[in-house]
Amino acid sequence: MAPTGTLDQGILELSKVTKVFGGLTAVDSVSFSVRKGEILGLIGPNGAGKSTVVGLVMGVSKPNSGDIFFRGENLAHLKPHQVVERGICRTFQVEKPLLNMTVTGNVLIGALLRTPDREEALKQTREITERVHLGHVAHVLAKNLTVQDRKRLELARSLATRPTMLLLDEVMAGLTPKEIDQSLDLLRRLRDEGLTILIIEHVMRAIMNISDRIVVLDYGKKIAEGGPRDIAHDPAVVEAYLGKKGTRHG
Amino acid sequence: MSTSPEEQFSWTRYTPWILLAIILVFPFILPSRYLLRTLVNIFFFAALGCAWNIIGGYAGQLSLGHSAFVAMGAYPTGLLLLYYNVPPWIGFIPGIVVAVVVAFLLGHLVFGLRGPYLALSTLAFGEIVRILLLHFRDQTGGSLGVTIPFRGTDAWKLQFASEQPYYYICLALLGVCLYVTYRVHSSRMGYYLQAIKENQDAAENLGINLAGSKVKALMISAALTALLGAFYVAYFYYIDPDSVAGSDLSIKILLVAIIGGVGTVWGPIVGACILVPLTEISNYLFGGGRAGASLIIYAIILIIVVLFSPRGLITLLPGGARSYRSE
Repeated sequence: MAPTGTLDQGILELSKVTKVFGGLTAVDSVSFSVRKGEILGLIGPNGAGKSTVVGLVMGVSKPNSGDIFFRGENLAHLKPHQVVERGICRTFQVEKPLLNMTVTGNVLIGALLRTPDREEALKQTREITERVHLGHVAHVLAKNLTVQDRKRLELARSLATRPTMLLLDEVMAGLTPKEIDQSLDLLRRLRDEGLTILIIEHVMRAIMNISDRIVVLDYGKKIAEGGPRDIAHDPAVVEAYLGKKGTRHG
Repeated sequence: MSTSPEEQFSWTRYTPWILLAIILVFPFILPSRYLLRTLVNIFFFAALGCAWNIIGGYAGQLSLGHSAFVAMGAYPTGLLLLYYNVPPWIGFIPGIVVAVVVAFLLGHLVFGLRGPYLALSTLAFGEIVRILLLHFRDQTGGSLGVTIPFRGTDAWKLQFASEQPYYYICLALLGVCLYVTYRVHSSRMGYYLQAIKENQDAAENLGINLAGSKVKALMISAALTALLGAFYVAYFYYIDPDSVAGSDLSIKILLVAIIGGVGTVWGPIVGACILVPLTEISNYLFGGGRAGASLIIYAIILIIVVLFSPRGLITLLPGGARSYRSE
């Protein structure tokens, strides 16, 4: 093939990925790619397979068939921690903080991945904690945080591992409109700094607002892909998803 | 921290050094054989608690079979001394190698399990080792155990008529265990183990190699435990499967750590300072006829600690809460 082909190749590529749980095909021959430096929205009704896709990319579970490539490397045989080392980090939809450690401790452990030096890691921790607006609770134990702050902590911790790509699984659920705007600003700035982001979100206003492109899943199948405007008017999407909930927002 | 500079001055600065000095000169001030024996026991169990704490406390991977590693250190050392006259300070090496290799294999086998399943499998592991020691009686002496004859003071074989040398040897071993624990505590590994203890999925998502970290912690813990097993046989001159590979010993090891303070460097010392004297008192009060009495006392203490000071008794000491990481 011509070498120019690499130009539109994505940083993350899913090729005919299928995952079956028991009798249920959670992800059905899904292919899409995420381009370097873009924010890709992954949407779909509940149970569409969005979080499963995140799990497959991270290597938490392995696809029954199909391949996932990150920067040209097949992730098939990597464990989650190795995927994180390669530069992909996720947030959990149901937050999983290290409950008996402070916010600083939680973020610090992420930062220690790239540097064994505690002081250096602490410095990065402070920067990130401030950035996601957790500075005022830096010394609070994670178990005492509000749900919103736990969401922020998920993001902070992932950022601390210095990923090239972030997989955000509903980090804005439960935030107020003002807080959502803050988060959107932050994500945009992160993208402008070169981070690639795949974002799963139920807050339509947010996802339509921030995504460069959107992939829509329904019952494990990809039913649409394109810019936010096209997606919003795609008949299949309207029927599967926006038709029920989001037409008023458009 | 919240303590004022003066408090820090008096407590955390000088008390440990004064205590250390007292401990170092103690055998010369009060050379009571009985007291020294009790202190050696305290050092010994504190050191075992430290070794256990690395995997059981810091990483939160409950091991109920740690006595197996004591046996792995004790038996080779004892048998090499008995049959080949290899002094314990050389004879301990094969035992450590065995313990580390077994820890590596065991770790890969059981660390996929979590919670009660892990605890049960380690309990089974301890029993397997005990039963193997009973089974291969031609080599191990079976339930009769191994008796090392004492033929007068012989420093080469670490045999001493007086108690003082053992006191210092055991103190040094405790120092080794404390140092290793401190290194783990203050390194990236310590943070990683703590993250694993808190939430394995989250830890993995922060780039932590779960299996690798846990197995490494178990190998370190096993090596230290086997080293102490080697001391055991050199000190008591007698081992049998029940005393060095029994679940009683495993339980006592983890009680020392849990009562003192899991996941702290100094907690096991506090635990040993309470448990060992209590065992002595209970043996004195109830005698050999009611050997189970000390177990009842352990149980009561454990319940009290879990209910009222779940982070261990070390938190009740001045500055004790600082043994835990502030993050």
